[in-house]
Amino acid sequence: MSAILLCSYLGIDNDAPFKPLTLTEWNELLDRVGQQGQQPSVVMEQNQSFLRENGYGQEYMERIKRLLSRGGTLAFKLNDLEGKGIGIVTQFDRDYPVLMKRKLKKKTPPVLFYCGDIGLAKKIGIGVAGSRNVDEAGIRFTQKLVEKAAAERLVVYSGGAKGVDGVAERAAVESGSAAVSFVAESMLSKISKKDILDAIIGKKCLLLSDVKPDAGFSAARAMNRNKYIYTSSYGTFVVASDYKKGGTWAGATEAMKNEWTRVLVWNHREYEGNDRLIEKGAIPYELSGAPLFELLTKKEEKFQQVDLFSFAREIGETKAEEASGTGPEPDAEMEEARQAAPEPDLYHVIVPYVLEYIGEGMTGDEAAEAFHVAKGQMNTWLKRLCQDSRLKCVKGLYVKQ
Amino acid sequence: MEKLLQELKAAYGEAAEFRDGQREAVQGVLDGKRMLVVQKTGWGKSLVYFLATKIIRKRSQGITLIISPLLALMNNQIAAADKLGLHVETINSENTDDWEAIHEELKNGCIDALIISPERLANDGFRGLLAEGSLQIGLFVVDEAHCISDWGHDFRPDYRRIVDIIQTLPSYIPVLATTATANDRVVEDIRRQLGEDLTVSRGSLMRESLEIQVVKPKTKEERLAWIADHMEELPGTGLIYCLTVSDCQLVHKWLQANRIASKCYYADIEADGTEKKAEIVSDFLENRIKVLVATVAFGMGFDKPDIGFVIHFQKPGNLVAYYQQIGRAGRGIDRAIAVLMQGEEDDRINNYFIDTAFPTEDLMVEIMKAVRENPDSGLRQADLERLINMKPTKIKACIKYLTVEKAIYKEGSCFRPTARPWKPDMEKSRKITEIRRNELCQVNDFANTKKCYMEYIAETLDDSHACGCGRCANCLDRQIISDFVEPDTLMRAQRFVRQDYNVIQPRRYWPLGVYVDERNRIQPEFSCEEGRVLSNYGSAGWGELIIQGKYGDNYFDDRLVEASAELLADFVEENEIKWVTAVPSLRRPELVPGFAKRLAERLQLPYTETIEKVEDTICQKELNTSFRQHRNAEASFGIKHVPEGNVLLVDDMVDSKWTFTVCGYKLRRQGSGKVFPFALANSAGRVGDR
Repeated sequence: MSAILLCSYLGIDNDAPFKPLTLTEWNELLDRVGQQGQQPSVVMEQNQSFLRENGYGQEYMERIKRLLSRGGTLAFKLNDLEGKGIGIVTQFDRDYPVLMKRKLKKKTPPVLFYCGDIGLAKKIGIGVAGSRNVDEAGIRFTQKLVEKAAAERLVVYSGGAKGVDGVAERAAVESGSAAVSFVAESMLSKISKKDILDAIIGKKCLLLSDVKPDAGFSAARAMNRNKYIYTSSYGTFVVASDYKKGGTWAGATEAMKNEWTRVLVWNHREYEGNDRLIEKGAIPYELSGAPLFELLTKKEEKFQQVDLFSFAREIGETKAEEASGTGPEPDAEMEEARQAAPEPDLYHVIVPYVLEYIGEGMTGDEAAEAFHVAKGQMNTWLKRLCQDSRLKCVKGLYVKQ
Repeated sequence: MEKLLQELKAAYGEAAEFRDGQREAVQGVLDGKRMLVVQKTGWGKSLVYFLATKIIRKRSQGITLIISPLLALMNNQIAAADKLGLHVETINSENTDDWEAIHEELKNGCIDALIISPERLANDGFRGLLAEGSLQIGLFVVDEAHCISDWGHDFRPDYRRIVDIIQTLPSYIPVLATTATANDRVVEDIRRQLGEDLTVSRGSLMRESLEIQVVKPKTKEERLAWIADHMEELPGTGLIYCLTVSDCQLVHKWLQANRIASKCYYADIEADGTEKKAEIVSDFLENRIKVLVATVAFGMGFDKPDIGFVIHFQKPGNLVAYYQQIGRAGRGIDRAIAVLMQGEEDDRINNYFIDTAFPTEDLMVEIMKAVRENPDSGLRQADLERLINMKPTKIKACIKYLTVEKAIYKEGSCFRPTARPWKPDMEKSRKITEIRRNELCQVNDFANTKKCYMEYIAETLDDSHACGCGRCANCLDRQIISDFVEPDTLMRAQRFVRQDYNVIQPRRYWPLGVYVDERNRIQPEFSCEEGRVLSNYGSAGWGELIIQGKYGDNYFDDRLVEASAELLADFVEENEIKWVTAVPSLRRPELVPGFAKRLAERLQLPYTETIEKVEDTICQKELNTSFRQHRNAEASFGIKHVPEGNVLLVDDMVDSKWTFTVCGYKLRRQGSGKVFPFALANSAGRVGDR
């Protein structure tokens, strides 16, 4: 709740005398809260002692107070949105798109609005980017690419715009996969379109946005959302880019610079932007029989960390804290596990997953199926968990100790 | 703690003390808890939230938002607020003129508490006000909180919305829910919805002023006679609750025939344009009538402290509703009487209500399909009525249900689909139906119990303070008011029920979106006049003879001709009716015309066949919407030569009235005089209000 109250424009008019915290301000505040071993909810306390003790100015405290006083108003706003099928998820929530948060770090938007099955944002998928004005060849390539992805049960992350985005998302829905669309225009007007509504209801489409659902298109917003597409995907395919102009070029170069994910560019030299991106180091791609998933997870120094998680196709939804937003950073446990390992040992990575998802207990075979690993491997891990006194085996059923 | 008492004494004088549980409730709110207070009417629930408001305001925190179905502040509420020096305002549909001013006051921070109705809370305009961010909420109060419960006896989308809002409220805003009727199951349900950390404060629900009695008379005639015989013995003014609208009208007419001042109150009372709810209510509140005859539509939102009696003409569907209804009596007086009657028809009617409480799966699916086809423009209710072959009331109920289920939402006057998967959950409705059947059994047990009636009810409400009341007929072991019915009165009542006729009000408009002569309004010179109907379909009295005539003998008994003629003799004279005609049917070509001929003969009027059935259309009763019924009737009939003068237009059944309306229009177009409809039975599904 603190994230929504302090960071979203919900319940604040454009001409309101106070503004929500910027991302920088918010992160600064969170750091301060974290350093003192506190929970973010500490800023919601009526007496503002935390802020005072940390030397925040009167003006800042007054602003926080004004923002927090919207609690009642916000409840009405959120209820209205919920009634239309739009939800909200904060960086502290279990459902928050996990790859995005991991890679964007301090650029992570604290609050996302969504419409559709939020679980889709955790599925492994490809990003698809490209110009609004794309020719027939580009459209055909996009469709083929997405059909291939769909056949491998990969979802499509894109930007909901006309042209390449639209073709890719439609193809994803039609070929039995799903589209996750970071929209740059009003979410409310999007869901009044029948094809989009049907896809959402059929759990084939998820709309996401970091600005409130009635906010319309802006170039800055469109530019900003590119990073969400790149960071969410295991690799983003650039279908068609202009050279040194337009959102596609800017998004791709930004992603390459930050090493967010693999940037693959259609090896179609007629598009100047494509050619130049490849020159700058993007991976040239042409449709072939080779599975996309292998292409995207092929070991390569830069992306090793991400690869580690590719095993977790279904369960890779990481451990997260209570949806209340009061828990420690969701990744803390993972981080801990990683650091505790003196040498790369996948066992440490699977421990928290297995403990969380094993529930009332599973047999070796059930666990292998649930975690999508070979039975032999699963049994090795289960035995090791027993040795470490994390699990025990009762009549063939592995349960928590 | 001491501070609370100080505040109380400052407002109410040194002698003031807290009632059991009040102090704890106030403290709980101030500690930021979520509280549920279950206390009977008059315990002082409003004191709790006003005192808490006072202290919250002193801490210069936000205002108190009170969600209450009360139309206006109750007197004792105003008094409580005044004494504490609080500025309380209400926003409701009755005071739209003041909204602007209240809005300004809110902005300036001069209002301490705002009372709004649940409907208002759902209203876009009010939400706009909240959304401005100028309104800071310090305490959230929900009155009549039992409506929050799924197991409550009506689906109230507005209360569902309140729950959603409370669930989204930041935890630092305290919530106080209050009710005077909640058993363990309802309390648990409220807990589930408002949060496991809900603190519950419960007191005795025993109502000391009420004397409860169950009387013997069973048949409708006996019960009417009892009411006429004993009305004088009942103190002050009171209520008679009926299960159906037609029973309300029957009782009301009977009271009038017995020179007892009464009025009717039900949901659609304003439909024929002659009565205004506000006037009826003020006649009752200001004691200009002895009795208000009402369906459950008369309920929350009214506060009359001196109601002296409540009679149930029929058994209510459950004891919680019964407790609420008798609880309207004896609030500000020492003695009030509650009389429960049990009719032979009660179970049938109550079961009908239970069976039809939930929309059918087919209808839900059909409406969802239509709404999802039109996410862009949305659909108005009238659009749905045109698209779907179902009675508007059923469509309306289904829309309400789907709104509660959050499958659709309303924006302006349009319904749109929620962007979320939905499938009908029939299991839930099945469970609730089962519970309601058990509750109905409980009412029957109650009516036959030898225990204290009040104790029985209090136990049903899981009141740990339940004990013998010492005032009811069972505690006293004697009748409070005699069961005896005068034979003369009974005979009069029997005659009255037989003669009870219904009026057929002419339709004034064509179906929505249908234009005849370029108008949706039926031009008065082509409209029917007010007509008559002999009986209600299937009712005791003539009902059975009619069914036998139509579906058995294909001939209406001469007794029906005689009864109709008796009913119509004066009517024909007063309205200068010159001839008779009948609505023909291809299925039973002789039935109605044959009857009409005999009736004409008996009335000494000429009979002329003027209307032809030109097409064998679908039976009107198979069609559920005005749009279809009208279209069907429009296509069915043609008119031959028409004599001059006013005409009696005879049919066997009347339901939607489209047949009469269309035939009447066509007759008048062909130059007939005024058209007066007459039918043997009213088969409209007018079982009454929910």
